Amino acid sequence: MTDHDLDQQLAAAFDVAPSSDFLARVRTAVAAESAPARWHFSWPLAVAGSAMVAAIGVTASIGWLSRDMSSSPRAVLSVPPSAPPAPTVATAPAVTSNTPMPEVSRSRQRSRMAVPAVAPTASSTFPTVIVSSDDARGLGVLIRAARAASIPAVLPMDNVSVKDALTVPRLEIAPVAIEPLADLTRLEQGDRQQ
Amino acid sequence: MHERAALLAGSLVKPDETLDREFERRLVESSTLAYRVAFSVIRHQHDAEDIAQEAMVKAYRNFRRLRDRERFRAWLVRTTWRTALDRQRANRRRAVREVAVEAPATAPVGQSVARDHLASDRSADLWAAIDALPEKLRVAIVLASIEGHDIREVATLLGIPEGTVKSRLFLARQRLKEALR
Repeated sequence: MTDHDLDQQLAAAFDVAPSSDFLARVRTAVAAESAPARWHFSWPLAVAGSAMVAAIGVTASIGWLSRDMSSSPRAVLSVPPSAPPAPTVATAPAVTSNTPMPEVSRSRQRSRMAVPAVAPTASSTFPTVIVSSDDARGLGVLIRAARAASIPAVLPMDNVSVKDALTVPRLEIAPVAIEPLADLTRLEQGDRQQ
Repeated sequence: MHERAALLAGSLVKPDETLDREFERRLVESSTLAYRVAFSVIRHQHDAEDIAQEAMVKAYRNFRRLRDRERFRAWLVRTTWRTALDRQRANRRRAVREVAVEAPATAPVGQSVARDHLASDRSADLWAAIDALPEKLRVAIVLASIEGHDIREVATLLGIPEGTVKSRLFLARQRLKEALR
C-alpha cells in the first residue's frame, strides 16, 4: 500500500457528517444552558464597589478605634460579669482620703504583713493575695493623686516630710593642715650650695 | 424602586451581547470537527452527535476564556476526545454485561453499529488498524485526516511541537500500512 492509497482511505473514512438537525439540537441544548457569566466586567461597577468597601472599612475602623480608646481605662478596673470572683485582697486598715498619712503608717509598726480581712469563700477560685500595708498605702496615695490629677513626684514616707526627705545633711569636714617635708627642704638647700 | 434598581444595574453593568454571536460562529465552524473526532473514537453516528453536543455545551459554559479561535478548537478537540473515550469504555462495559446476561451468541454492539457506517471490509480493516494504534498516534492521525489539517494545525490543536507531530504521524502511517498490507 502506498502513501497515496492510505491517504485516500483515511480521507474516505473520516468523510462523515452529522445529521442535518445536529446543529439545531446543539443550539437548543446551548439555549437551555444558563448563560455563561453574561455580565462582563464593568469599570463603573468596580469603582463604585471599591469605594463602598473603602468607606465601610474606614467607618468601621474609626468606630472601633474610638470605642477602644473610650473603653480602655475602664477595662483595667472593670471585671467581666462572667469572670470568676476577683482575688481577695487583704490590706491594713483602709486608707481614706481624710486620714493623714502619718496616722495611717502607725499600723505598719504593729504588723508588717496584714492579716486577711476577708476570709476566702468556697466559691472563690483565686487564692487570697496578701499585700503589705506599705504597698497598700502607697497604692492608695497614688489612686487619690490620680483622681485629683496631681501625682506627686516623690511619695511621702513615714514620719518624714517631703522637705526632710529631699534635704541632704551637711558634711562636717575638719580643716587639713599641710606642712612641708623637712628632708626635702634640706636637699633643696644643698643643691643651691653646690 | 425595582425599576430604578434595574436602571442603575443596567447603567453599571451591561450584558455581553457579542458573546452569543461569537459562540454561534464557533459552533458553525467547529461542530463538524467535534463530530468527526467523536466519530473516530465511538464509530456511531448518534453517539458521536451526543458527544459532540455535550462538548459544545461544555464549551459554551467556558466560552469566556475560550474566545480565541485556536484555543477554542484545541479545547474542543481535547474535550470531545476524552468524552468519546469515556463513552466508548462505558459502551464496552455495558455490552459485556448485556452479552453475558442476555445473549452470549450475539455480536457485540460496537460491531453491529460499525456495520452501519463502514461499507466495505477494507474500511473495517482500516478502522481496526486505527483502533490498534496507541492513543498518541491515533489522535495525531485522526486530526491530520480531518478537514485537511496540516502539521502546524495538528500541533496547535494538540498543544505539542510540530516535530513531535511529524514523528507521530510517520509512526502512525507506518503501522497502518503494515496492518493493511
